[in-house]
Amino acid sequence: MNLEKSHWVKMLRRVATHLHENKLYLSEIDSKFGDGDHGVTMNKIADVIESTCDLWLTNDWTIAEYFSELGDRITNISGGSAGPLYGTFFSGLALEESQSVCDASYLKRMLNHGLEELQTITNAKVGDKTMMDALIPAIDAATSSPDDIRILLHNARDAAIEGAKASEHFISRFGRAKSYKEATIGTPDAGAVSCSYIFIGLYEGLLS
Amino acid sequence: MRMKKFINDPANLTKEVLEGLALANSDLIELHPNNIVVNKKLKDADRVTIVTLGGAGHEPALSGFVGEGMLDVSVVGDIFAAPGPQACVEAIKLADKGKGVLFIVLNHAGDMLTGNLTMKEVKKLGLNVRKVVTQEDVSNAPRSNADDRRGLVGCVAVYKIAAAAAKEGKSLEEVAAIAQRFADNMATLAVAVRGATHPSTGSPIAEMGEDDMEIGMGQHGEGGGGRQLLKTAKETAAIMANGLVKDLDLKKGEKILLFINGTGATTLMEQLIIYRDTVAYLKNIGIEVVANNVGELLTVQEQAGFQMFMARMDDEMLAYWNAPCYTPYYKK
Repeated sequence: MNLEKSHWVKMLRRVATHLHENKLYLSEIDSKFGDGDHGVTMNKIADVIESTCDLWLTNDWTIAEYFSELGDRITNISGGSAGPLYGTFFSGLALEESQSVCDASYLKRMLNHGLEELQTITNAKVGDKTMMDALIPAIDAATSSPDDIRILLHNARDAAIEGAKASEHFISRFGRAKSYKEATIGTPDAGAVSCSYIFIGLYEGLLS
Repeated sequence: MRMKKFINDPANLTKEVLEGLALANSDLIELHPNNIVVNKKLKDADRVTIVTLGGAGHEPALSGFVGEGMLDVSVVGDIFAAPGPQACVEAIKLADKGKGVLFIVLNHAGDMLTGNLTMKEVKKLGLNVRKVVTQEDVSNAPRSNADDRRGLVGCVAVYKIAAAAAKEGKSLEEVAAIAQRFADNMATLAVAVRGATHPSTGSPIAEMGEDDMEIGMGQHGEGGGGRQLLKTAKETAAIMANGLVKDLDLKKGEKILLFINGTGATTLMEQLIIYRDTVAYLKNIGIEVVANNVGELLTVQEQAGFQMFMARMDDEMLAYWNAPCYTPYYKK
């Protein structure tokens, strides 16, 4: 199967639903070593995802045009680090070869390009207790999957969930939590968990 | 700890605090869309101008220092959260009066991401902008690893120094160099005895034991190590002053600027006692306090505690510090 606008809108709306529903949980885990507002920020990002989906349904943006718009808006929500980080990732999903329909290989290139763009603004790696703990394994899993969108997103989702869970065992090396060093072991990273919701939502939205 | 604050809809906190600030100081500042606070006299500025960015919830910082002799524009995000780069680019364009813009960024993850994205964009636009990062929290990294040092109350002093240099008609390169030299010679330690609540969520930030204090608390109660039993003002002042003197490698005969900055719920009585004890400690080792500020410049809601700030001063820096300024929360 290929992904068209109607698929993307369903997938993205499912992502937004997960972020809305887990607003309190995300803030709660962030409050252990951060300032406890990651849920507030992700809720704002979910609002932007929904409003841009509504817009997309009324215009003829290509996939790249949509993600470029989404990324710009997320970067500018006033959301601390999460705004620029997620915004840059989503902007990076916009490929130069703009298409209205995307196949598995295009999706893989989108995801990898998003990660590359994100890596121009952060040096965080897997194990640093950041969103990268979920994002990098998810994109690696997608990339090494066969060219089948359903399998690819299924594998990415599983890897993102695993990665978010694994972040519990890591010592924080970025952001406010960094100062707490070893004490951060045992709590998952709020950014890794929110990132896993993105991949959960994309997969569930595809099935719906 | 349950939140107990006089607020309305938590989603509107930033908008409402900035509207209040602008209303209360309508002779000095005006509020532009996208949470941009502007010095009313900016339009007449024929000099390097000063722009900063940061979250709300730290009042009077940062926007309370917009006005003649300190900040020309402050770009506010949300509570404890950085604004996006688009608003910063807009602010820099607004501030640029043909002599260039000094862009002061505190070293916090979100502020730095936005600061870097903003610099990328203004370079593309060909604007004349120099960035100075304040990173003076000695608690979480050694001086050799300054990129890991957070920006605390020191930014307020840097605004003052940079603006005074700009007012003298110095070039952007000169203003940036002066601000950087000052920033390289400053150090802060924060101590907390009670945490705050996040005003948007009501959740506690950094809960402390009843009998504890933590030295190295950072800006938002991020923590930084030294949790210990609460000590007297004199003992606490000595521990903190000693940490700063060591970090700055201050020698007998040197002069400093000293701030005791209450973080929200520590009384002025306590701050003044701490100031007294710090001055006495410094006098004993031959260091002279030539300028000071005791009171709240940069707060963290109702966090009880204070930040002790020191900066090495010479005659040039002292002249900049003593230059006149007129802003809502700092006047000279």
